[in-house]
Amino acid sequence: MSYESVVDQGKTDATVLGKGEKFSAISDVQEARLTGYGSLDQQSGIDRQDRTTTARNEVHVESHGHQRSATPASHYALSRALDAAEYHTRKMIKACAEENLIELSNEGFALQDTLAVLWELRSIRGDDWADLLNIVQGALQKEEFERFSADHCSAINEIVVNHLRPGAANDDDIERSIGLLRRVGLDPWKGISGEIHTG
Amino acid sequence: MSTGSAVFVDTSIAIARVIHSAETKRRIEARLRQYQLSTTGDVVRQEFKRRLLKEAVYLLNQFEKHKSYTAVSRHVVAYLPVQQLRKRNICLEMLTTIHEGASDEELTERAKRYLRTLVRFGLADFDQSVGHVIRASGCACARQPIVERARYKRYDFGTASCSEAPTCNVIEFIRQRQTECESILAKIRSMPREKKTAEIQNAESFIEKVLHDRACAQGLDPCLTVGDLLIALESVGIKDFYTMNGKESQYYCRVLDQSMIVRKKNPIHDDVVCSNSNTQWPDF
Repeated sequence: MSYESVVDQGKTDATVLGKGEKFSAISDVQEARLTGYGSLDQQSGIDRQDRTTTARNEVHVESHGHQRSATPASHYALSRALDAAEYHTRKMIKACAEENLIELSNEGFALQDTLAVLWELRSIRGDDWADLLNIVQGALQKEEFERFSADHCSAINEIVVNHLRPGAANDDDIERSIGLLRRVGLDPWKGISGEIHTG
Repeated sequence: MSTGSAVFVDTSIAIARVIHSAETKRRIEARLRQYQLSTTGDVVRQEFKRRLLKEAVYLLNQFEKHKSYTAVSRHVVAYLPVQQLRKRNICLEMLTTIHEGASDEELTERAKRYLRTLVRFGLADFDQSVGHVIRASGCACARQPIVERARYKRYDFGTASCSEAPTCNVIEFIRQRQTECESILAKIRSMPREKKTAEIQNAESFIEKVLHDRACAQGLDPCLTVGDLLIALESVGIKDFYTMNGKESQYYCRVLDQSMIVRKKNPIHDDVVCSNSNTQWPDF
């Protein structure tokens, strides 16, 4: 697995949103059904020649003990949501660099909303990917985004870009993501941490 | 705090870093940041497996049976008696959720996913959470990986007893720590009977046996029966010992000339710092 730099690589936001995503080819009829899923930045049809189905991106997966099938529409929605998640993390990095705390917080909330969309689509990518998404969502819960540092933003961006986006997560993706969260002081186990005081 | 400082993290702290409240975790991390190196040991790793990750599997099994977050929470309260308060608290802490307003169905799924991730990656996180894991004890149980046999259901932890682990190195470890064992035994023998907890009595009995015949050490399953003692022996050479349970550790720290730092469970309290240079420590 290759890891790209988490800092802004000179891409415009529009470029970030539109390029490089790979997903299954869809028919015109199926595409017509996608009107309910708003494309963030481009007309459907761009990069159609590049669309492939990778081994990490199976349509039929076993999720949470259930065999489910994903429609092309849900694949498309997942792809767009991953675009948006990456977009929001890049905006967070930018806002943090500019010390624009309002923008940083707004993008943090937008990222959480996008992760919630991904959660609804989790059956497409299987249990390991959903487990990772669950950890990331939990780590961001109850965080004050205004206090996020460049390291926080970069870590979340790296997880989205390198570990959530490519496809079904593997052990390495989860272990590295937990390590990244730990390293910047975000708690991967926040979702199972409690207050039982006996002394 | 001296420069070049190191601290030894015991099992209670290692577990608290995963499942205790955000405020407790914040206090622990603040304490650890005072040191250049945080360390722990293989026997701590084994106890982390046995005490935390096995409880996680217990909860996964309950989720498989009850299929409801609410029902599992009720089950833990109803069926784990107060005599097993530590296990019950660990389970209840793991069942605490930050996903407010979520349905029972969502809480159930999220809890299962957290628990599965913890079982699968908890040991890797344990290793990454400290600067160094001391391997001196050669605890074979600690080094056995957890293997997922069936998602959310069955996990193979390997053996939890030295006597069943062919590569256990505890006999050699006891030989290397013979001087410390003798000092600890002398200390325990000098203690009034009413001060000796069950764990301390086990340690006394264990040391007496292995000093008489070192070869019997592995058969006594020490990482299972006298974990506190082995952890103390692992921490030899580290000046500060960080724990949430000073009851037994206070005696071992005294013998090993360590300072003991006790993290109170309630995060409103500060750490209790017991310097090795102080002759009086509070009662634990």
